[in-house]
Amino acid sequence: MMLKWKQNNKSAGASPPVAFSVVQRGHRKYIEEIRIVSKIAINLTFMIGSFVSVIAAADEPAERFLQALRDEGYFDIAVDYLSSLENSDLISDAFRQQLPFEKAETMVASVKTVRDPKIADARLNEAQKILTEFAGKDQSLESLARTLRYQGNLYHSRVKVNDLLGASDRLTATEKEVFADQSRELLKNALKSYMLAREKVRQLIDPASPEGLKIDPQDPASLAKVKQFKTLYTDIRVRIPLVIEQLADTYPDNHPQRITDLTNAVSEYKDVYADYSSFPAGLDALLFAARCSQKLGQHKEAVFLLEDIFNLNDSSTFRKLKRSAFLVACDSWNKLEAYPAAEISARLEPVVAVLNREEIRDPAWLRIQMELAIAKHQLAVEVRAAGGARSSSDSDDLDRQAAKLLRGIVRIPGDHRERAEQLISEWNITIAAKTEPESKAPATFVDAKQRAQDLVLEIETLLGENSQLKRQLASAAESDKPSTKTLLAESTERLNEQALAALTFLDSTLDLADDTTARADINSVRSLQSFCYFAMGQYFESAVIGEFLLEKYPTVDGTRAATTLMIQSYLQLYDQAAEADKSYELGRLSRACTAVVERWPGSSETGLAASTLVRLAITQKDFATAEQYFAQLPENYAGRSQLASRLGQRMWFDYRAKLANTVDRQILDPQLKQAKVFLELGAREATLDQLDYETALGCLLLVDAHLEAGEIELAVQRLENSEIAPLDLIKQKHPAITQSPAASLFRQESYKIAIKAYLASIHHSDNPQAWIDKASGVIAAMREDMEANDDPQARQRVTQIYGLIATELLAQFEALSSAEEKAKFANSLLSFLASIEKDSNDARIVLWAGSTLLNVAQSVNDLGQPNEAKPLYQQAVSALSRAETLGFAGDPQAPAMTTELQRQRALAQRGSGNFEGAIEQFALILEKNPRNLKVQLNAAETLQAWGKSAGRSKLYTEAVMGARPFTDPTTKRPSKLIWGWEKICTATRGNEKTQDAFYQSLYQLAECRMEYGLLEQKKEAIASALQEIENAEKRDPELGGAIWKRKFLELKNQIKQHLQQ
Amino acid sequence: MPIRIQTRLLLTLLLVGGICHQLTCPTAARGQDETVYRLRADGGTSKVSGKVTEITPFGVTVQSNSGPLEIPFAEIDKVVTVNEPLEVGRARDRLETGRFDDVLAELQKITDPNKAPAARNEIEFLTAAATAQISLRGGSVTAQDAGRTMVEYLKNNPTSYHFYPGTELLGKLLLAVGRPELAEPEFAKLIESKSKAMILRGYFSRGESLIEMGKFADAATAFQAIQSMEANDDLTQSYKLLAKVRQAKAQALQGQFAEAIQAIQDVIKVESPDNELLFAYAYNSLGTAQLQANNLKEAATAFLHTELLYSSQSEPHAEALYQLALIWPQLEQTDRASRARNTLKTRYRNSFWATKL
Repeated sequence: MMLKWKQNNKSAGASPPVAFSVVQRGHRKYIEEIRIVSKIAINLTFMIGSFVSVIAAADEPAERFLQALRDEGYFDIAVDYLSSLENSDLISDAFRQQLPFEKAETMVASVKTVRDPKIADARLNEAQKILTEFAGKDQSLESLARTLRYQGNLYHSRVKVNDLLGASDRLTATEKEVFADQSRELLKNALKSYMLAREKVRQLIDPASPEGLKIDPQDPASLAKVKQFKTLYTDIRVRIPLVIEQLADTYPDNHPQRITDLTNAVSEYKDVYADYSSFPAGLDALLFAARCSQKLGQHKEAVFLLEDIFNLNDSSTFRKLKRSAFLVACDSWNKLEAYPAAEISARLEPVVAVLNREEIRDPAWLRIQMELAIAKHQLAVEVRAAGGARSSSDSDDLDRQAAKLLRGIVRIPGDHRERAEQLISEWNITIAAKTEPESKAPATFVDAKQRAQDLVLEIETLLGENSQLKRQLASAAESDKPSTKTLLAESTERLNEQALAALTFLDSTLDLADDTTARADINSVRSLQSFCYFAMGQYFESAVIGEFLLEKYPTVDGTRAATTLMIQSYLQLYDQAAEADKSYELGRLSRACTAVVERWPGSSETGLAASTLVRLAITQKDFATAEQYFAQLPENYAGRSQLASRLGQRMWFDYRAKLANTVDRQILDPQLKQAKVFLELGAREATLDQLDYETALGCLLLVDAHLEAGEIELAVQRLENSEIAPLDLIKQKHPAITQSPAASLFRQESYKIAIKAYLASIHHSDNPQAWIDKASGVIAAMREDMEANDDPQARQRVTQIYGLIATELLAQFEALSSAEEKAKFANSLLSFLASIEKDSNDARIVLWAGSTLLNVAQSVNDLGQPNEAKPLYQQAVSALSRAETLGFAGDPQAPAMTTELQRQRALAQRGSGNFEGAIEQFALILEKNPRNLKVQLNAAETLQAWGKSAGRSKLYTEAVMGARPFTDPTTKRPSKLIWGWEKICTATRGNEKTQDAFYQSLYQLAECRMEYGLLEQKKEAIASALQEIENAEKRDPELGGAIWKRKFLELKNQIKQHLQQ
Repeated sequence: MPIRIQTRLLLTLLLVGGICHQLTCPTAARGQDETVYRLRADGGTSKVSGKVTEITPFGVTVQSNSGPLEIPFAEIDKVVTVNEPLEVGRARDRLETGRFDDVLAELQKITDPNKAPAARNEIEFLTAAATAQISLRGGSVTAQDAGRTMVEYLKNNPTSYHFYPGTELLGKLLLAVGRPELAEPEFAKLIESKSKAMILRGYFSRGESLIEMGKFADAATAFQAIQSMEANDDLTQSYKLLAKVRQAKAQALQGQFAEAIQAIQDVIKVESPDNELLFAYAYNSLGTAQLQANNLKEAATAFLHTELLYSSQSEPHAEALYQLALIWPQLEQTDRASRARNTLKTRYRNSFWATKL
C-alpha cells in the first residue's frame, strides 16, 4: 500500500497543486501540516486536470493554454482569456459551465504574486463571490463536491491574508479583535464547506448510494474518476480536523469552545489514523492528535498516542515525522507528574545515536539531544540516590554521556547553546573530567571513525566561527579592524591546530583498517581528511582526495560528501591562481564538476557542480555551455534564481557591448531573447524576503531588456507591479539594496531605466501627460535621493543621466516612422521638458531641457515642418535664457557653459524666426572670441537663412563676405566680426582638423551665390557658383568624402538646371 | 614481496647457512636430523625431517625417509636445527612480525653462541637482515653500517640459501646510500635465482637502479623483460602492471612524456585502487611524466595522491615526498615543501630519496 501511495505521488509530478499552493499559504502555524497533508492527496493539478479532461476532452487546447498562462504567472491574461471564452463556440458547454470555477481558481492563484495583503484580500473576495455564485447554480453532484471543497480552501486562504491584515502595528486592540473575529468566521465557513464537501464526495464514492459513481468495466476512465474522488475524500478528511484545531486556537486557553473544538479535532484525527494508519497522512493525523491532546493538558494521552510513531523504523522516510513527534513528546514529558527519565533515555538514545552530521546541527534535533542529556543526568541522580556497589561509577558514566551531549550542543551556535551551558553549570559538570578520556586509543576502526567524526564536528564549528570573523573583518570599521584581526588570527590558529590533530588521528584510524573494513567506512574517513585539509586552507590536498574518491569509488557512501569539498577546493584554487594562468585549475574544476553532473544528476552535488560550470562558462562568455549546464540544475537548487539572473545579466551586458560595436541587431536578437528568458527566470523564482542584490539587479536589467525589445508594457509592468519591482525596492529601502556596496549605482540605474521606460511609453499612449508626470516624478525622486545621500558627485551624475535621457529621447524620436508621429512625440516632449524646466532651479538641468528642446526642434524643422518646430524653438529660447539667469556659479566650467548656452539660444532664436536677435547673440560671443569656428559657421548660416527668409540680397553678400566691421585686436587692422563663408573657407583650407568646416563653407558659398543669383536674377552669379564647385572638383575629385560629394553633385545639378532656364 | 615470506626465506637461509657452516666446521653436530619447514601453496607449512645433504644459494637437499628431496629457497619457511637456542626461534618470530629491534635484542641474550654451533650461521644472518631492515626503515643504523654487515655475511657464506634474500637487501642498502651503480649488479644477480618472485623483484629493482643511473633505455628494457614474461599468475600479473607504469616513467624521462602519461592514466583508470603498491608507483610515474612535460601543478597533484592516499607504501611514498619537496617551492608553496622535506627526513631518513635530497 505504501508503495502504491508513493507511486501515485510520483506520477502526480513534482510541482505542488494549485489548490494546495493556495492552502499552503494558509495560517503560518499550519503550513507544515498542510504541506504534509498535500503529500497524501495526490497532486491536485493532476486531479483538476483529470476532471476537466473528463468534462471536456475537446477543450484540451484551451485548458492547456490556460494552465500555461497560470504556470507562467500571467494570471491577468488568464482571467481575460477565460472571459473571452464565455461566448466562444470553440469550447464545449461542459467546459463553459466550469469557467467561473476556473476564473476563481486563477484569481486565487494570482494572490501569490501580490505583496499588498489588501489587494490580496480584495482578489480573494472577488474569487469568493464568483465561487459562491457558481456553487449556487444548478450543477452536478461531482461539480458541487469539487466546488465546495475548493470553497473551503478559499476560506482557509483568506484566513492567512486576514491574519496578516490584523497583525498590523497600526491597529488598535479593538481593531485587531475585529480581524480575529473575521478569521474565526472564515474558519467556520471553511469548516462548513469542507464538511458539506465530505458529505457529497462520500455519496459519490459510496457504491450503495443511488448517486454513487458507477464503475463501467469497459471504461477505465470511470474507475479513474472514482479513484480521484476517493483521494479527494481523504484530502478533505485530513483538512477538517486541521481547521477545527485552528479554530480552537482562536479562543483563549480555558474557553469551553476551545476545549470542545480540540476534543473534536482529536477525535477526527484519530479516525483518520484508524483508516489510514499505514499511510503518511494517517501518521501525520496521529501526531496532530497528540498535539491537540497536549493542548488539552492531556500529556499522558499525548505521549501514548505518539508511541506508534516512536516505534517506526529510523529510515529517512520517517525521520522528520519522528522528529516532530519527539518534539511534542519532550514538552509533554516535562509536564508529567514524574519525569520519566528512563523512558526518555530509552526512546531517544537509539535515535540520537544515528543522527547524521546535518541532523546533529539541526535546531529541532538539538532540542531532542538536550532532552536526552537531561534525562541521562536525571537517571544519574536517581542511580546515585539508590546507592549500591556500582552506583558511583554508573552515575558517573551517565553524567559523562549527558556531558558529552551537552558539549556537542555547546559547540553549535544557536538557541540551545546557552541553555546547554547553563545546564553544565547547574549540574556542576566539569566537561574535561566528565567526558571520555580522549587519550584512550580506539580499539577498532569503527570506534576511531566515530571519534574522528566528533573531532571534525568541532572543526566545523571552528570553521564557521572563522568564516564569520572573516566576514566581520571585511565589513568592520577601521577602528575595529585590529581587534577583529587578532581574533581571526587566534581563531585560525585554533582551527589549524584542531585540523592537524584530527588529521593525525585520521591517519591512525586508517592504520586500523584491515580486509574486513568496509570501503564506505574508509571513504568516510577519507572524506573527513578532505574536510580537515579544506579547513586548513590546503585546497590542493582536499581536492585531490575528493577527486580520487569520485574517480575510483563513485558508488561508495562517503564519496558524495567529499565531492562537494572537492568542487569548493578547486574553486578556491581557481580564485587564488594568477589571472594569467588559471588553466590547470580551470581544467580540474571543469572535469570534476562535469563528472559530478554526469554521476548524480538532480542531486544537490550536481546543483553545486552545474552552477559552478555555469559560472565558469559565463566568465568565458560561453553562453551556450552555460545554458546547457543551467538545464542540469535541480529544480529545487537554492541558488537557481540567482544564477539565472546572473546568466541573464551577463548575456545582456554582452549583448549591449556587441551592439555598441555595431554588430547587426538581427544577429544579436536571439541573445537578447535568451537574456530575457534568464532574467525572467531569475525574477520569477525570487522572493522579496530572500532577495539578494544580484537578483534585484537582474530584475532591473530585465526592465531594460524589455525596453530594448520594444516590450514597453512588460517593462513598465516589471518596473512597477511585479513582486520584485526595482522602484519599490528603493522606496522600501530593501536590505538587498541598502546593504550592497553598489546601492548608489542601483538607485541611479533604476531611475535612469524608469525614466527610459516612461518616456518610451509616451508615444504609445493616448494619455502622454500621465507618462510625462511619471517621468518627472522619477526625476524629482532621483534628485531628492542624490541630495539626501549627500553624494559629492550628485550633480555630475544627474547631468550624466540627463544626457542619457536626451540621447534616448532623440533616438526614440528618430525611430518614429511618420511625420505625424514625430510631431505628436515632439509635442509630448515639449510638455515634459517644459515641466522639468519650470520645476527646476538648477541651471544645468534647465540648460539640458533647453538643449534637448533645440535638438528636437531642429529635427522637426528638418522634416519640413517649421510651424511645428517653432513652439519648440521658442520654448528652447525661454529655457536657455532662464538657465543663463540662474547661472553656473561655482562651476569651473561656467564660462564655457555660458558661451555654449548663448550659442544654442541664438540657434533657437534663428529657428523661431528671430534672425536679428540671433545675429546679435552670435556677435556678442564672437566679440570675446572671434576665432570660435563653430559660432562663425552658425553666424554665416544664420545670415544666409535670414537672406533667404527675408529675400534680401545684402544678407547673402554678408553671408559670403562677412558682417559687422571691427578692428581686429591682434592685427589692429579693419576686419569683420562675422567672417562669412569666404573667410571661413580660407581659414579652414588644408587643415585636416577643420576639413568638414571647409567643405561646409565651400558648399554654402556656392549655394549662397546661386541663391543670390536667383534672387537678383544674375546668371553670372549662378555661373560663378558652378565654377566654384568645378574648381573644387579639380582640386579634390572626392570633394571631402561621399557625403559632401553627393551634396555637391546635387547642388551642381540644381545650378545647371537654373542656368538652362 | 611480503615481509613474512621474505623473512622466512631469510631464516631458512640462515639455518641452511648454519648447516653450510657445519659442513666446513669439524665441530658441527653432523649426522643429526634437522627439520625443514616447507611453505605450501595454500600458505601453510609442511615439515620435512632428515639430514641436509646439500646447501646452495638455490635451496637445500634433505635426505628424508622417502629419499633425497630438493627444496628451493623460496619454499623454505625455516630450518630448525637440533639444540637451537630458544632466542633464535624468538628472534625469527620477531623478524617475521617486523619487530627488528627486538630481533637484535633476542640475539644479544645468547650468552654462548658456541653451545649451538649449528645456529651460528642463522644468528649471523638474522643480525644482518634485522640491521638492514632497521636501516631501511629509518632506524638508528646507517645504511653504510648495515651494508657492511650484510657484505660480511655474504662474503663468508657464498653458498648460503640466504644468498639471494641477502643480496636483495644489500642492493637496497646500496641504493639507500645513493650508489645505484653498485646496487644494479646486485639486483641483476637476483635474476639468476630460479625463483619467480625473486626474478621479478630483480628485474624491477634493477630497472629502478638504472633509472637513477640515468640509463633510461636500459631501465625500460628491464621493465619490458617483466612484461614479456609468459607466466600469468597473480604475482607476475601484479609485477607486469608495476613494470608498465615504471617503464612509462623511463619513457617519460626519455622525452616521450605524452605517451607515458596516456599509458599510466590507462592503468589508473582501469585497475583497482585497492592495489596500493601499483597505484603509488603509478601516481609517482605520472608525476614524473608531468614534470617532464613541465606541468608542475599536474605533477604536484599526482605525487599528492601517493602522499595522501598511499603513504603506507614506504618506497613510493618517500619518492613522492622527495618530488613534492622540490616541486612546491616552484609553486610558491614553501610551507608545503618544508613539510614534505621534514616528513621525508624523519620518516625515511636512511632512504635513497632522503639521501638524494
